[in-house]
Amino acid sequence: MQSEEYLVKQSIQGDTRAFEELVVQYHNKIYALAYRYMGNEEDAYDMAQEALIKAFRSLRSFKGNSSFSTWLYRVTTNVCLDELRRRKRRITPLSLDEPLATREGDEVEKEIADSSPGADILYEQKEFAQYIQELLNEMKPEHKTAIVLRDVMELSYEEIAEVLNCSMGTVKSRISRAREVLRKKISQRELLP
Amino acid sequence: MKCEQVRDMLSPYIDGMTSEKENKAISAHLENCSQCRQELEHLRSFCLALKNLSTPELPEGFAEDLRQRLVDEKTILFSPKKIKKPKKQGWIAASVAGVALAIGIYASSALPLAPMVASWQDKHKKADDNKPAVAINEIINRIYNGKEEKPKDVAQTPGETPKTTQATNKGNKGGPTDSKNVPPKTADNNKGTEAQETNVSTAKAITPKMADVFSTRLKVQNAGDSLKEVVQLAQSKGWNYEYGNSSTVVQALSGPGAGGLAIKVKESDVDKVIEALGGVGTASAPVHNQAELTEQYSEVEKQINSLQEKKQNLQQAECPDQAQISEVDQQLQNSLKQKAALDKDLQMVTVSILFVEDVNP
Repeated sequence: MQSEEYLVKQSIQGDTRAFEELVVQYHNKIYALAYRYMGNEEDAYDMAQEALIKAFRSLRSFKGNSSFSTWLYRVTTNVCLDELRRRKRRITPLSLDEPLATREGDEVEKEIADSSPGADILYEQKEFAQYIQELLNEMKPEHKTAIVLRDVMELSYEEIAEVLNCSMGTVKSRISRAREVLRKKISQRELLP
Repeated sequence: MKCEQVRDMLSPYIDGMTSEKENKAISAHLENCSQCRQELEHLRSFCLALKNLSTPELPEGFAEDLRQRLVDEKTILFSPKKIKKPKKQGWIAASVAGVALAIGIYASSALPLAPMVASWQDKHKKADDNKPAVAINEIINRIYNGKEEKPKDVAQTPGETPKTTQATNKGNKGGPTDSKNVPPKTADNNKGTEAQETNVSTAKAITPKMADVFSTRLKVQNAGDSLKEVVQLAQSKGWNYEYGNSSTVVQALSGPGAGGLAIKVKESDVDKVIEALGGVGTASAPVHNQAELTEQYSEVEKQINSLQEKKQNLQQAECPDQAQISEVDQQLQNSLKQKAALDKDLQMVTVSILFVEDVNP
């Protein structure tokens, strides 16, 4: 097996086989990441492919300051968020984690009617995952990325700071806030297993 | 520490992102506060649940799809860029030619050209009897006479315009102009009757000889080593190569003294060459160009003709000088070789590589 550095160099020269070898170990992770951002398998597939093609195209910009995997997550995150932003411009759905301003100028948390079959039903793991995914889909991008990168992908705070290109302080507060928002939603439905 | 402060720090606390001082304060608080302990447990189980979320499996064919897309992407990224020529050029040329023709016809029918031409010719004749003005006279004659005038007649009487012809045509102002009969070049006046005759009667349009060239700059660490590397590469692949300063095509394009290497391949192999160069250094996107070899080609052809004639003359001599014949023969062979090389240049595509050393500051 060739070293990562060598494969990166070869890929920059246009060697597609070298690039395939370079990224094959990340296929699953990239797909999982894209799935968490996009919320469905079809979009996740397309975005994971798109992210890897974009990585091939812009490999010259990878300077080796971060690890290759972090750089790849960054490309994937950008591709997915760009796509979500593009879609949002067309349809503006109601964001559930954004406080609703009242006439008096106060802000209240939005609450939605629970359409689930009943709070006491134990959800199977898959259903729970789907349920969390639904909530993630409704979250602001900055909260969503924080939860996904930290709690789903298990990246370190340093790596998240590199992926999101922001400071450690920002990462800390975003993760904290994102967990709080998501937990509030779940506790509202009393579904936490 | 207050509960509110502690709860704000629980998230980084479970991730081990709080300082030692903070850790101590949080631990101390948790020992005495059951509510915050409960909150910590909730947060931990929440994070664990997220970590164990099931993700759908990667669909089959992901790698194959990626491979195909990469190949497509590569052809876009690394394909030679052809310089587009404006499509309207032909139309512009045609309309300019049309307008010029219309003006010509109008001028010849409306302006009193004949007396002007006659007076000019008289003046010209007196001034210089020796210098034949065949081509101009001929054109003038053609304007007035139409197609009947034979070039040979004109050629036999250099410097003299048959007055009878002119006189009879004075009234014929509206005579058709026939641009086809106008020779493409004015005859070389100093070469005598015979040369003029061939010039006038046998001059034909020269088709331009263009050779396709893709030029690329190859950024490398060491130009000398990389040149050797590319030469070895060309040898192993069986590609024809020439050093840039000896390649006619490269010279025609960049002038003599151009360095580098010229690889000659079939058009379909250009991509392969560019791809292979990627292994040596960073190749810039190839620029498509055409080198005009018309002049070189006609020069060589002319040389071959004259050498063949010379050889024939020598052979027909009463006592043929064998040494001279073989010398001429040698020259002839060289010229034929040159012509063959040019033919090859015209059929093949040349990839001209200029080695540029990537110097780190």
